[in-house]
Amino acid sequence: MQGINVIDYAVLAVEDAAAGIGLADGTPALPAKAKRVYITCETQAVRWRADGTAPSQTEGHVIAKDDSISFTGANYRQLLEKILFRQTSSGAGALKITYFD
Amino acid sequence: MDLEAIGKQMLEALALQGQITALRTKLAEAERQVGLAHNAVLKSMEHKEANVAARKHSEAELSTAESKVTVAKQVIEANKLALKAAEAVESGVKKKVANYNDEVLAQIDSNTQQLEENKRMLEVAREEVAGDLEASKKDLEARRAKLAAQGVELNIGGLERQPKTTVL
Repeated sequence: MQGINVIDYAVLAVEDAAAGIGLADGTPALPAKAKRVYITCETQAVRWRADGTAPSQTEGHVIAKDDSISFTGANYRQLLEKILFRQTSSGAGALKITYFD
Repeated sequence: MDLEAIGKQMLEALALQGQITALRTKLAEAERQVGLAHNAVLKSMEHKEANVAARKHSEAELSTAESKVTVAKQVIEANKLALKAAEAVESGVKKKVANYNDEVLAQIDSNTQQLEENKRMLEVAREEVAGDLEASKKDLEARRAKLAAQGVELNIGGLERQPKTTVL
């Protein structure tokens, strides 16, 4: 069975402007070997898109408050470089992120 | 023969001739007058025949006009009857419409009253449900507190949303 290694942990504040986790020099920075992530959503729900277009308060996939999403079933490097998050009309949210290889 | 007698007879003959000539002239004039009178009579007869024809024509026209007047009077009478019939129908229809309006207004009043009653009953039912719900919540909270005191965490499905993890 192939192993999965934790590379890093990060926190992303999600407000009313698109924010990503995919840049090597971003905040948070995408680790060089990161291919998978596990994300939990706190404070308020957020929306995300990974198609190159920024989400809005009403457009994009919702992660409800206290829900989690796990991009671990495949090599999600390309998605991680493109994914963007944004708050909904409920207010600012926060994401806790664990990166895996 | 006596010359004097002959002379006398010749003078008498001349006188007679003169008279005869005068008479002939008078006769001619009389004949002319008779001719004129005859012509006048003929003309008069012609006029009379023309007047008879004209009178007959006028009588025919009068007869035709009288027939038309008779027909027109019959048409007027028929129209009067038709008008009476139409007025009767209109009166009947107006009565029906007035009755229908009264029925509709009565139905509207009844429906309005029913609606008010339904609203009132709905409000009563809402208050009852709200009261029941509040009582149920309090009861549930009391039970939860009791169980929590006993170390049991009570989690009723449907009252609290459970966190969800999506795996991709």
